[in-house]
Amino acid sequence: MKKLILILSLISSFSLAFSQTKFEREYSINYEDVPEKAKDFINKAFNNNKIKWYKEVSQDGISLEAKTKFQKHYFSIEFDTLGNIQDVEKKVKFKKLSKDTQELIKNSIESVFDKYRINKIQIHWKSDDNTLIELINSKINNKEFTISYEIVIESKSEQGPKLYELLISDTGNIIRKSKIEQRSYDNLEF
Amino acid sequence: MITLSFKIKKQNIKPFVLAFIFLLSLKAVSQNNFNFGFYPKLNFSYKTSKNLKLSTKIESGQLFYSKSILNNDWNYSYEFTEISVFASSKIYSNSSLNFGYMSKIDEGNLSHRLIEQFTLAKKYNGFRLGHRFAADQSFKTFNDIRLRLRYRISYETALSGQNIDPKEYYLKLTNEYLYSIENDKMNFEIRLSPAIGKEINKKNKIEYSFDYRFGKLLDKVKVNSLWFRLAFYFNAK
Repeated sequence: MKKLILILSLISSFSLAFSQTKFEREYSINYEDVPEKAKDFINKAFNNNKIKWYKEVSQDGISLEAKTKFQKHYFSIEFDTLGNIQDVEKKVKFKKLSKDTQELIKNSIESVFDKYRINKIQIHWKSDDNTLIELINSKINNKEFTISYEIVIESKSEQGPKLYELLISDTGNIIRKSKIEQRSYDNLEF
Repeated sequence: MITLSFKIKKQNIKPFVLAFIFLLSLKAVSQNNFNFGFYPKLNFSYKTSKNLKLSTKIESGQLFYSKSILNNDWNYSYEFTEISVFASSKIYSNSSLNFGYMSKIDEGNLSHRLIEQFTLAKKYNGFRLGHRFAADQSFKTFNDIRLRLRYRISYETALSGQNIDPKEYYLKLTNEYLYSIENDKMNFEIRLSPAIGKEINKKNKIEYSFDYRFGKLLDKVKVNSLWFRLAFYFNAK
């Protein structure tokens, strides 16, 4: 038995030697570490909903994200490190968008891609705190806000099926297009 | 001893603990046979064209402990080596069809297996589910063929943050059901495996797991095997 434990320890040590410094891209943070300003916004917008907080480190800098499910939709609210709101994202189904919006999005995508299928759509809202709270709670208002659509599509290209993320404005302009590098799933395949 | 350091979410560690307790309880109530060993795996994949990927897998089973009616012994024995090659064709970005061939060297005997499988990996909020449907045909001679139908479900989730990023750890649970027919005799096997994996980068992974197999369920004497597995998954392209 002692020999077995020694063998297993040696095997673990050898394989773990491949892993060195940990680089964190997104990780959970405690509620106590969230700025008060961000907490206030979340409390006003979502009442007592269960919220998960994350810190995201990327080439654009560091931001904080609150994620929750509210009124059957997944929301992601982004803040800067001081707790100032950046934007609100709401995941929706393509068929639930208005016909005009569906047409706008299709025309934008078809200006770049021949064959595609839509995997995910999120509505992006940018505005002041109160307007965003009203939008989250589906209250119709006449206030000014910026709306755009973040869409993940799968397109068949010469290199095979690929995933892309598009950010489309409310007038149908493609603001950003980027290829998504997918995680391999050979550990689920073999 | 190098220690793993990551922030463990309570809700993510719970299924792992439950799965492990389940594995131990199965051993406790199991009938006669029980085997414990080490079963490492190396999987290497290479994308040859836009839709085609070739994969090679090498696995080897070694027993440390074997219990049956006749004996009950801690004793090392080399059991088998399996070498497989697969051709995979992507249907969509998250699904593929695989056709493979495996050679197994077992106590000096060589057997062959043909494998056909369809895999679908679906991403949800905070986790990924994998579904694998497979059929295989194993034979030593053409008069002695075993046919199997298999279904495996896998659940994979990050142990820190919401997504599995490079250099982060994840939890994977798999559950597989196998139905076999050999010489007009049917049988059934269930497999359960909890694993901790490390994402080296988006293409390469290491996984540590326990793989519990409860086989020959339709026989009087069932077969229980518990394997400790170390798996490396490499993608060249």
